[in-house]
Amino acid sequence: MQRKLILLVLILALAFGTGIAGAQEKILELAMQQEPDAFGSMFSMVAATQVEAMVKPGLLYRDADWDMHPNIAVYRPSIDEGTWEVDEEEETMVVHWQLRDDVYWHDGEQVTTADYVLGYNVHMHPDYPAVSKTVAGYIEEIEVINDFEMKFHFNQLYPFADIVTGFDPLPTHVFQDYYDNDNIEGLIESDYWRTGFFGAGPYKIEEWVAGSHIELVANEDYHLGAPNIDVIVVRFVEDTETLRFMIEGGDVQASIGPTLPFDTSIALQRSVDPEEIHVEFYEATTWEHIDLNNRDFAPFDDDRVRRALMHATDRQEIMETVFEGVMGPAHTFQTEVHPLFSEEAADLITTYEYNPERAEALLAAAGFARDADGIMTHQETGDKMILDFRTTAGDATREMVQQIIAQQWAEVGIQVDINNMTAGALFDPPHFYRREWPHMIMFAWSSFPTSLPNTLWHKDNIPRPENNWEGQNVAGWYNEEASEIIDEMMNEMDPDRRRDLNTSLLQLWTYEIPSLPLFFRVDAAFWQTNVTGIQPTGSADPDTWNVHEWDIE
Amino acid sequence: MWVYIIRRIMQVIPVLILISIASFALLNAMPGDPIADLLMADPEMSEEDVANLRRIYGLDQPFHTRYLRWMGAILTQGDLGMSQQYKVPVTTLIARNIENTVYLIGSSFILSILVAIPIGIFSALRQYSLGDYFWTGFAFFGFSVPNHWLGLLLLFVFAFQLGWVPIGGFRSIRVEPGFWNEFFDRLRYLILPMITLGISSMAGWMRYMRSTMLEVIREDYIRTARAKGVAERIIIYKHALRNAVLPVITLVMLAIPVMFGGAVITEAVFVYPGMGRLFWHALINHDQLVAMSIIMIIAVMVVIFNLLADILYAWVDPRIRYD
Repeated sequence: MQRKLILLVLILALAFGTGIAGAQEKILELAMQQEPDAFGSMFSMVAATQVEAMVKPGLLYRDADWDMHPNIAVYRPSIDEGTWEVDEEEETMVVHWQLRDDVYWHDGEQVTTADYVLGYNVHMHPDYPAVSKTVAGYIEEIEVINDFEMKFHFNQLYPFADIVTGFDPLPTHVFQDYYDNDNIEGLIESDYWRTGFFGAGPYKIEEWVAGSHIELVANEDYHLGAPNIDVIVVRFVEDTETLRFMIEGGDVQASIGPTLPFDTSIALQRSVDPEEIHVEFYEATTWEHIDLNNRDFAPFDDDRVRRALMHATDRQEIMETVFEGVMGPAHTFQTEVHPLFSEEAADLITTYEYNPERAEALLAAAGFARDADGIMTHQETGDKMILDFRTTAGDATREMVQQIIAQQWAEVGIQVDINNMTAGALFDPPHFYRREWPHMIMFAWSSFPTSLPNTLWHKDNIPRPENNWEGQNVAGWYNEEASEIIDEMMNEMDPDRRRDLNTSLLQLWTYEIPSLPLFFRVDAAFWQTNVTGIQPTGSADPDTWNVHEWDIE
Repeated sequence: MWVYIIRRIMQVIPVLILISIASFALLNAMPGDPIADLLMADPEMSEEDVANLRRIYGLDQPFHTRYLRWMGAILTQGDLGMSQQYKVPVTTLIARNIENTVYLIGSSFILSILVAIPIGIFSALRQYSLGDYFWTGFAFFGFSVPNHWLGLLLLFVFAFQLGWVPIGGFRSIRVEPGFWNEFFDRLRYLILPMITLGISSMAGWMRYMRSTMLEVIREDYIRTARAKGVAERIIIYKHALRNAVLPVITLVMLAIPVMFGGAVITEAVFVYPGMGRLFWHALINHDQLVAMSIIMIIAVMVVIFNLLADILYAWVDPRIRYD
């Protein structure tokens, strides 16, 4: 009996005593709530860009202050320095790129302009399922000067041609044959995009265990300097509570977006020792707002009604209640840190303070008065302010905001009927783009520092039968002057002039207020205080832009 | 017996075809599609981008064309199609995930049987004893506790507070090489999901075993055996158990596909990479062919385990013949 007991103890000791080998290495375990599907331009995921930036950096990178710096490129093209030629009459451009001559793919081959030409050709192949071919489609030809210099010939003006290429380079020594033999299917199915993915970045993929983690090892030959951390293990933890346990329990030393939602993050911040775990909150570019169906509910076509809704909404209280005042409310569709947003714009735009009396006065001016049931009713048409309000069911933050708005609007005689749906049903194209929602939907648009307002606010992008219900101007804002400003912005190469145009657009937009801006989502990141160098960007650009400088003290 | 098996297989073919049509139609009727999801993430995609992707993925084709193409590829080439989300063949994706799920479901299954059968017998033999009350309480807890909640509770107590096992994952990143090192390392990660997944079936089988055993030990032939002076151990394990276990066999066999459903939640809580998570992702990301393939695997599993239950039933009970 005693021998059996000793044997059992030995087995248990063995079972629970096995640990991680290689303790001398600096290993960082980093958690994200999402796993990349794969890498490259066929895929579009925040999680993928975070890892991809560690493995395959671009020509330039954006830092935490949203400034651009060269990575594989020697310089950022500039009109002033003659590396970006613009022919405004012909509406064409030539952008000169020069590559560093000390950049090598992880398998040892040198990165050259041929890799960019191949990347462009594959990207534009009709059977290659790139998420977007828009920007690369502006490029008519890539002229190769030598192994390290090339010129992109644009067939139209594009204001961010010095930053965005719209495609990624591909290693010619791996893929040239596929392209030459028109084997695009084989190229798409290649392991390169997944377990075999490599680039010229600070980390190499050592192992990708689907559903669990990616192990990255340092590339000692990285052209911007060898990384400080030897191994980074990116773990994918979808369940919010499990991820919280992992951060709090020290099973992971850091977590970057996509990570815990705001409410869990703030709870975690309260429960951890700030000397041990740092919690960073930052404003993201994801814009939460309410779109109004002005096509099917005539009162929404009256800007006095839309302004009344803004005055009836205490957005500051929403921010205090839901986000504990970490950030302020949004006044426009554009975050104030966006490169297009100027200080002048902040002074000139119309802002809407919480003022229920003013809301009632505006509704009265628009022909509404309280009926016997206390609901605002249009005195001529009989339209009642009983509004169907939809958002994504199960999104705790949105549902809480919705409840607060319903309470606030009840004070001015507006009844809100909440009718939430799953994300799939809400954004199902027939429902979403054909505006089968009768009155209001709350959702978010993502944006980037290079986002221009044409997709969301140009009159031509209102989804309607003539354009097969395509276009993202779901708010249905039809404004000739605004569309002209947007057209001008699309072709304006001077950043200062573009910013001025943007200010004019924002003035118009905030006055007419076609959507009700609520806030920019607050994101969080976590790291143990002995981990240094992590600087989230908040710009939808990867937070791993400087991963080679991260360290563990 | 072989004639019986072949006849049963022939009978299920039309059932499987009907299931495939119904599932394909249901998935097709689900709101949203993968291109709409991409568009929400990147509002700057152009109309041409959207149209191009719909063409490449065949989403511009009508329902029946897509179904026939999918079914045709399965029947002629054994090809389950390509995952829209991961851009790899569905078979590759499933092969990558099935091993872990087999470990999880297999170990939960064994654990459940090893615990449920003896305790069911014990409870029946000691009816209304303190032990019987305890295990009855345990069974009701097992029945009623949601997998997600139990998983988090176990994580909190045994991984977060006590630190006995890791919080999530399925193996350590670096393990000293060697079979036993790797085996015990995997076991540390498997133990909590295995208990979480197994507890409800354990509870069910325990109660079922108890009730069938109670029925059997009151039968005349047991009383006769006792009167003849047959040893109690032989009465219980040779005469009673063999009869009492018959209905449990069907229950146990049919529980395996059900466990697969439970694995979806368990795998998510414990960050355990397997088929359950793959199925969940396929559903939320509108990866239709992956979801369809997994549904069909479950359907085939139900059929196989039904058949196995029948065969086992006949094997255990000599009164049953394959007719």
